[in-house]
Amino acid sequence: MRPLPTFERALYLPLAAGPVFGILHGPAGAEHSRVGVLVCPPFGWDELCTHRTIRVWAQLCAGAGHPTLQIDFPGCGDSAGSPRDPKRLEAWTASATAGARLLRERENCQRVVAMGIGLGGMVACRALAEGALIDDLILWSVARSGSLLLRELRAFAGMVAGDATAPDSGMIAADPDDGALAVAGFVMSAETMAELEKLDLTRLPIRDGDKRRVLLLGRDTLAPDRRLREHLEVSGATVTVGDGSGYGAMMVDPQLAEIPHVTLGRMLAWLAETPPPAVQGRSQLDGDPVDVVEHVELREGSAIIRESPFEFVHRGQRLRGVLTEPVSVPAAAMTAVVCNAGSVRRIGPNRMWVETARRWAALGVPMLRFDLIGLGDSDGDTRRYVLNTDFYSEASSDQVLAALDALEARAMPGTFVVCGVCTGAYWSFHAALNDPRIRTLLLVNLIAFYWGDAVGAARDARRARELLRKGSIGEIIRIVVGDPWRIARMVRTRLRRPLAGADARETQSPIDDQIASSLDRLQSGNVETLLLLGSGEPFLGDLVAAGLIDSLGQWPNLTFERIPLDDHVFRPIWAQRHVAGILDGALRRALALDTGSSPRDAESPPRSVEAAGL
Amino acid sequence: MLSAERSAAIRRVITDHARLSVEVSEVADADDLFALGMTSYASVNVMLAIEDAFGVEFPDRMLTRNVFASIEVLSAAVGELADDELA
Repeated sequence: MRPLPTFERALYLPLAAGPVFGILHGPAGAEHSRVGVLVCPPFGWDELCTHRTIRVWAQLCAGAGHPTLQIDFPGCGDSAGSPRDPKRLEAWTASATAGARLLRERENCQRVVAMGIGLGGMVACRALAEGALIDDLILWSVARSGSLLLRELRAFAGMVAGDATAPDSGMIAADPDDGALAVAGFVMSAETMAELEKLDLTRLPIRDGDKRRVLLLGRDTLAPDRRLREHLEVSGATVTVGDGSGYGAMMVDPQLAEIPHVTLGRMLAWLAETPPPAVQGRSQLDGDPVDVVEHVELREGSAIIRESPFEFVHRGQRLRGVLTEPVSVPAAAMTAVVCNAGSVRRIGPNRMWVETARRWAALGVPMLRFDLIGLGDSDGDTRRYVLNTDFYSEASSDQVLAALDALEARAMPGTFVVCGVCTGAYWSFHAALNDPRIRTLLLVNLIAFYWGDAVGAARDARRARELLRKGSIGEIIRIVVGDPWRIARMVRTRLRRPLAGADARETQSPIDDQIASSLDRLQSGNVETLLLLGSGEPFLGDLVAAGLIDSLGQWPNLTFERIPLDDHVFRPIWAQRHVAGILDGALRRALALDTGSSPRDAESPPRSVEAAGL
Repeated sequence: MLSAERSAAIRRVITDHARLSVEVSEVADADDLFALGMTSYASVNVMLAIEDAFGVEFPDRMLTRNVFASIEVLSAAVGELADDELA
């Protein structure tokens, strides 16, 4: 069947535990299946990896006539609150309950199917057991108990902690403050873990089980939880079991995540099967109707701030984000903008951009976080980013400039602070070179000022030399076997070397004329620039290897700082706080400069290259 | 289960869940699976799949990168757990 025309609308559900951000997808015309779909996301890293899949799934459902609501759980994604807030499990359940109700009341659905992955599936089951207007379930890789989920999360946290190295490795895994667990950078509080420990889906009652359908999907070759399946079957539900193929490929990494089209098709076909009569009719919609609002006001410390969805069109594609603005504090004369870090959606690694936006709005600075074309919630094809080289396209920075235009068109202050991590930093740097409205530039773990084959090949050669020095011949062989494109790149670069004049990019040293000229431009434009690099960053390696750290001192507008950790997205909680503190300090300095007071009066004075400890 | 059978079963799990950048047939028992492309996330899937395949449960002390770093170490760990079950 040809997909129906669809619409898409960002919204908030104002709930007691804080507003919940959601995106409603639906058929644009009158044709309507009367079966709604509520998508309950997994936790943390899993959510980052599956976000685009969930979006594709929601669009497929809408195209098949099913109004579909994807939500961010409270304290997660773009929703209000923090993962450290109390009663998270209760709040997550309430958000699923409200989402199902929205589909019933506002979208006229007679049946609601809750689709959940991991934690999301557990929350959907809990909501159903507590009387939410959920009829059927699609459960993908859902454990039967919170203790099993936590065991998996702890194992993952432990494996990830082994990725990073820091001066004090004891600082990495656990937050010494309150016993929270950092799962690949995403916080789960001790209280939430205790709540989850008590959750056992096989003990939850499923009333009217004989009127319900459940699609239970495993994890590639791993079958769904046997005891959960038995519980559902004993409850009378019609249970269909599938293998959930594509799960591992979907979870590999936000950049390399593959959309599991086979399983999405399987789910869609299951949805289309004739359902039994609805468990709960509209007559059972007692209580207050669910409200929907276009923007929300939140408390951040002592300040009131506002968040609202923000969209703009660029090159025929709709780009989506969230604008956070001050309400109760005087507005500063500058606006902050941030976009993706690699393929990580606009919330940022460890949800850092959501937290930054709220802190900065409380300081008076509005901030837009948005997704570039093909990423997060924006239009476009994600597959363009599978190759790293497609990320490091200076042309992508025009999307940052389009965001500035869109913000100015909405009467936001026309002086900008632009910041980014990894590719976000790359795009920000190149945007600043082309737009005098950008007056402050915060570059975190920038890959290079200008990316090219020569830079990559030089890094590979340096790594190879280090491995040779250590006698790690086996590892070199494995790299050669596993990443043959690196060898091709090295050969290509060597061959091009005689043609030095033909392509300056291919022969540049870490600070060549092009870079020097760019930094000169930023200086002459009075662009205060912070370059913040982790200890294992390849760009830092470039600068150190070429003995160029001190050279950065010739640009007084450029401050260089080091994150004492080898972790590209600083996942340990202490590192997140460390980076947040540095960024906040940089913003305060920018505000001080903007108001004409000395930046030295700001809370965190800029540090010199010497002070950076290199 | 013989050590060779165990190793073969672990290789099947690695094939299905580790998402290595090379064919598992090219991997030596002592090779570092993380260096061959297994991510932290994939290692958790490997953990669950091994538990499912062998009917064992890794205790918390074994949920470390070292235990999942190679087929050799994994096989020894599974052997230890299987012996514990029998004891």
